[in-house]
Amino acid sequence: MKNRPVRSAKRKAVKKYTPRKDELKNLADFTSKNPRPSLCIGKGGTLLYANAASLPIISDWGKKIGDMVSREWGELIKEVLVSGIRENVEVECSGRTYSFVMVPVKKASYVNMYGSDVTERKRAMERLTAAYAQLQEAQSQLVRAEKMNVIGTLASGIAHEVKNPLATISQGLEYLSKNINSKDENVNSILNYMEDAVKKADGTIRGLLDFSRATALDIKSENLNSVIEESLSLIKMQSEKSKTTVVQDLDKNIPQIEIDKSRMQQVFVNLFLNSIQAMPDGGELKVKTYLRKLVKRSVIGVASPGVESAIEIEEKSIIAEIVDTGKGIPKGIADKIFEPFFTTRQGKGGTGLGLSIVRNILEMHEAGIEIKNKEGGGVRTTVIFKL
Amino acid sequence: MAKTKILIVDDEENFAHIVKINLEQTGSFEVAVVPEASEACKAATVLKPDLILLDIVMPDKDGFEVLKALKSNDKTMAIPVIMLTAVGDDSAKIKAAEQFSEGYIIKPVSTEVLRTKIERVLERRPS
Repeated sequence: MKNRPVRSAKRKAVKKYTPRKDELKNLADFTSKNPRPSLCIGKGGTLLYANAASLPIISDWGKKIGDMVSREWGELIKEVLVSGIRENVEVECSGRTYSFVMVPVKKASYVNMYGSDVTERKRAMERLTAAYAQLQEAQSQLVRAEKMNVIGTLASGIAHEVKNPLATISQGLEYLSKNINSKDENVNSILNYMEDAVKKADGTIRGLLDFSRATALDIKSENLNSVIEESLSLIKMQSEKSKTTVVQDLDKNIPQIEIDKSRMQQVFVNLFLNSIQAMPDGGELKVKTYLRKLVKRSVIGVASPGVESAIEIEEKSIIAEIVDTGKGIPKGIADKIFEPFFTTRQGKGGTGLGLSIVRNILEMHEAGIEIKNKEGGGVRTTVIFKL
Repeated sequence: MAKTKILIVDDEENFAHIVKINLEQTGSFEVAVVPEASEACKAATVLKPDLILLDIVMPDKDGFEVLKALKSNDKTMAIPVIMLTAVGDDSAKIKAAEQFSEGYIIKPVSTEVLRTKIERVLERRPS
């Protein structure tokens, strides 16, 4: 083969190869003019070499050739030399990201570092990850919508089949209550228990229908404060009965929002009743509304190839906060409170559908909810409407 | 005082009969029950009730069809009709209102509520 080195005992003498000066310069240029950053760091942490492309990086570190690199880098160099295994590291510099492979040269006790600018790749990866997350979210919303559709069909079928016999039982019990003249006290008690059971079953069916109702929202521009005030008037009887003091701190300056008023009333009535039920011996129910402004720096698009423009977006939200002085959410159930049919009021009229209905309605409005125990007792519920 | 004549059209016969007993026990009503939707118009023409309680989901005919037939017949169009049904959808309520039903009650219902709604509807009826 033409380029194959030939070893021959017959050759009398092998002339030692000495590179010419221009060859040496070319070799040096090969590294120094490499557009990718290359560095060489000695065992003790001394920066032995940096090519032109890596100068912005070492200048960002505040170093020059001959300086000691930072303690963290020094330790990493030692580790790589001891292990003899290549290591990959990422370096951030002036808004760009470089990926370096650290190659230990044990004999010479230094580590060569060969880098490449991976900023665009990383940004593309971040965009891809965000797009994937959005896709997953959209997919789970689709699955959820499909599930709700099935539940809706099932629920309305069940509702009809169950409500008819319930109606018969209810009317029958009414007749019996009026017409049985028994001296046995148990008869009246049992009839009352049966009536309560019918009401509970009917409540569950209604709740199930509310939960699954896939009807379109009747969206109009509304004042959230008015919706809250009307919801409070709907639970006035319960709050008075349970000796709950209602405190309102509603910001008059919040803008109108696009909501379905009656569905939103349903949300607040459910939340208020939850708070009242958590304070059986009375307490304080505080309702607050306010406008929250968040300044968020966000990348909104590509201004020119490879250059992304970032602008500051002011995100505004209307917050409704409900704070009670009740017993709080018991330990270990915080992640279950939104599950359908999960209730802590088993046997006390709880159907376990209240909060799942609340979440459902808020999701339809693209609004968020957070329910957390408050320091010092009670629960803080935060409902967030994006503007 | 003459009793108010009510016609119940409902395939749930047990339910209809207990409602009949409960309403009649109040002393103000005289109630007839028709379990077949297809017989509703004929019964309404013959019995001339003051008000009809009409179910929606029935095996032989839809309550809305019965409502339409009642409201398009000269002999029965003036009789107020209250839908008495287990169907609670808004769309059903709207459809009933569009077809000129005078009221909508979702089962189960107490006799007291039923009686009050019947009386309110009859009060509104032009004399």
